[in-house]
This record gives sequence, structure tokens and C-alpha cells, in this order.
Amino acid sequence: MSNYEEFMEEKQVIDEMVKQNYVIKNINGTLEGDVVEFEKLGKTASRKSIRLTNPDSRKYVTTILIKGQS
Amino acid sequence: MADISINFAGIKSPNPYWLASAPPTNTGYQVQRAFEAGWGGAVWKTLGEPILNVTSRFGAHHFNGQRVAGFNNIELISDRPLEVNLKEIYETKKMYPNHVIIASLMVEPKREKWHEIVKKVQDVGVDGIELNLGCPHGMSERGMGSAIGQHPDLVEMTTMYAKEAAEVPVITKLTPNITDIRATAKAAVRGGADAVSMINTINSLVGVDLDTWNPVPNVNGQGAHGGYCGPAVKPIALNMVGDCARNPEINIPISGIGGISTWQDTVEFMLMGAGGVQICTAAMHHGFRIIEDLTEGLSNYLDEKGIDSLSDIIGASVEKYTDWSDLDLNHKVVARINNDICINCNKCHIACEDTSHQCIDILTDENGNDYLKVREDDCVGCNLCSIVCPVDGAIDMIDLTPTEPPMSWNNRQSAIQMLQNADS
Repeated sequence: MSNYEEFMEEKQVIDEMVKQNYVIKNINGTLEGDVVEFEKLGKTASRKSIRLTNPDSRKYVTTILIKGQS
Repeated sequence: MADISINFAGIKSPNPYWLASAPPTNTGYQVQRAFEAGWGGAVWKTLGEPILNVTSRFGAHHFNGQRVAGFNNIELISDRPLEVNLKEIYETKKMYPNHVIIASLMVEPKREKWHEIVKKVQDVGVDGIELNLGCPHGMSERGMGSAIGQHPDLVEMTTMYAKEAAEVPVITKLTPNITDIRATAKAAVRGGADAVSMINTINSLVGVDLDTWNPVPNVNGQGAHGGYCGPAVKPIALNMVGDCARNPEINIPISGIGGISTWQDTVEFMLMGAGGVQICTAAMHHGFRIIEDLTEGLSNYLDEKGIDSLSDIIGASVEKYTDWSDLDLNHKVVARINNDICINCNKCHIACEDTSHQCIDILTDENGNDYLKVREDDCVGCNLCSIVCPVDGAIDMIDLTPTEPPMSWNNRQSAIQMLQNADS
């Protein structure tokens, strides 16, 4: 799989989480990539975490985070 | 016609080109020839207690047909009595009052030694003094040159000694043979330097003879490390100048030295904060007459840019030189191959496939001819293909329109930190 295809796969997962009203609660850098924890509040509150291995996805997720903070 | 004169730390020079302290400025005869040719100034070969030299003294690094890509020397400071040098400085300054003469000095790190020599050179009318705290070979084994320049406290102290006796500007010349040149540049500022110059030569062994197994250059079969300079060191010097120029604690003029061979190099150093430049290797390779191309090229460049005065460009690129952590991670550049110019040598494909990110494909068109195409989605914009490409214009590096706002590593880490603080 090309780097771009890998990015698109991980981006799709991130976009889906955002679409389902999950917000980023934490990002932890590890040797195996960034572990991103999402949280959804409300009646169906839940937490989910994903691991991002692709560098462009790791940029993308923090870009989303910064956009949300500003 | 643009004004290419400079005022460097109060020293007025008809142009920014000074010969660096080295063999080309060994005698009055040479400096007078240089001034006649058009050089703006000369930093006299370092004065101190006359030394003894060895033969041979120079070596060069030739690369792939290019003579003198780098140059190495094991020559020491002046081997002529101080009195002789002073007489020639006096005569030369009298003959060329509008040209700059700087006395480069090196003595032991003792207050009275520095006071004595500073006063002596001042008395013959030098425009400034440069402290040689950078020579990496020979003199450093005697506790001078880079043996001083590698210790910020000694740089500060020596600069202070010179300043105590100096009535003309003092330029502290720094060695690159140190982890972070900003430490010694700041020390020079603390010592009261009016300016710094950088870089002196880099520790080097230029080669080993494959037949005799002697080091190059050799002295009766033996060698010792020398000082490396010439075009190969330019990027190292340019970084050090830029790093100092962007540091608010180093708020004195910088004289740029290190591989400057063309007017283009000069512009780069001045954009990166140098208030003037010093040249040695290019003059040793091609003679003093290179000054004609240096001044003409600089003048034409400024005219073409519509810039009236050279001083207007000093430091103009400094704010663009930053820490890696402040660069925009979301900026995207990709390579594009112009197939009408490409000669299908496949160097870009090989470089990308073997050593980069495997995103240049060899495809076949409808006529059965091979052509190269970049998969832009996978291209990381590293520049390697355009660097190895032998044909100008065959590969362009294109800035893509941003799809996301700028985000640096520092921005990213701050955002994550904010998130973690809120979560805890």
C-alpha cells in the first residue's frame, strides 16, 4: 500500500469519528505511532482510541485538534 | 548605479570585499596590488611573534573535475618581524587612504601582550583590529588561536584586553571548531567586541597519497591537521552567520567569511546578516582580478532589483531563518517532470526508487516511448530528484495550494499539551 493510500485509510477513520461527534481527548506519541483518544459526550457517551501510523494522518489529526481549539 | 560601499562597525569601505587574513595579505606589495585591482579592504596576515613555517603547506580537495572545491593549509601566522609589517601597513595606508586595513593579531592571552600589540598597530593607522582566535593548527598547540576561541570565557577575556587598549573597532574572529558558535559570539559581545567575523578554517586532513601513504600536504613524509576553507565550507559558514544574526544577544555586525567565491555568495551572506565579506581561497585560486566580477556582478544585481544601496539587503533573509520546530508541517511541495525537456536519463527515478520515497514511475506512452511521471500524492517534496537531475528545467518543485492552515511542530506540541492539561 502506498503512503498516500495508507493516509487516506487513516484519514477516513478520523473523519468518521468526527462525523459521529467524537472529540479528541488525548494524543500520545509512542514508538508505534500516535494513540488518539476520542470521547463522545451525551446520552451515548463513550471513549474510543485509534492508533495512527501514517505521518500525514498524524499531521492531519493535530490540524483538526488545533482548528477545534481556536 | 547602486552604492556598494559599506560602513562596517564604523569602518567605511568602498565595497564589501576585504581580503581575509591569510597568505594574500602577507606583505605591503600584495595588499597594494589588491587595492589597485579594486579590493575594498585587507585584513593583514596575522601579526604576532614571528613564527617558523614548514614546507609544504597547502592541500586541495578536487572533486569530480572541479579544482579546489576545498582548500587546506598548515601555514602559520606572519613569519616576518612586526616592525617590517608595521612599516608596510603605514606605507600602504598612506598610499590608499580610502581603503581599509585591518590588523589581524594573535598573541598569548595576557593583558600586557595584547595592550602592547594593539597600541603598536594602532600607531601606524589601521582602521580596525581583528583578533585571530580561530586558527586551528600549529598556534593552537601553543595556547593561541582556536585554543582561545574554543573557550567562551577566554574569548570574552581576550576581547576585553584588546578593547582596553583599542581606539579603533575590534573585530573578534571566531572558530567554527566548536559545538555552537553562538556561545563564543555572545562571549565576544560580553567582552565588548565591536563586531565578529566568522568563520575561521575548519580542522581537516585533506587526503592521503595512495602511492606513498603520506598525509596531504606532507612535511618529510608526515602531516598534521590543517585548516579547511574554500567553496566546500560555504554552507557551514552561512549557517553560522545566520544563526548568529538571528540571535538577539549577538547584536553587533558580522563579517562573513567561508568559501565566498562569487558575487552571488556575497549576496547570500549579506542577506543572512553579514555586513561585509572576507575572501581568501577564491583569490588564491584565481588572483586578485576576480574583484572585477565580484563588484560588477553585485552592482548589476542591485540595479536589476531596483535597490539603491547594498546596506538595504543586509539581514533581509534573517527572519526567514528559523528553528526547524517553527516550520510549517502542512506546507506541501511536489515534484513535476517536464517531459518535453526531460532527456529520460532516469537519474530521478533511480534516486527516488533507491534512496527516497519511490514515487517516480517509468511509464510507456501510446507510441511505445518511455516517460517519467511523479505520483504527486506519494511525493514528499524532498527535492532529491531535482537535485540529481542534470537538465535545467526538467523538474520543477511546485508549492501546492494549502488545504490546511499552517501548523508547526511547536504549534502541534502546544495543542497536545493544552489537551492533556484539560484532560488531567
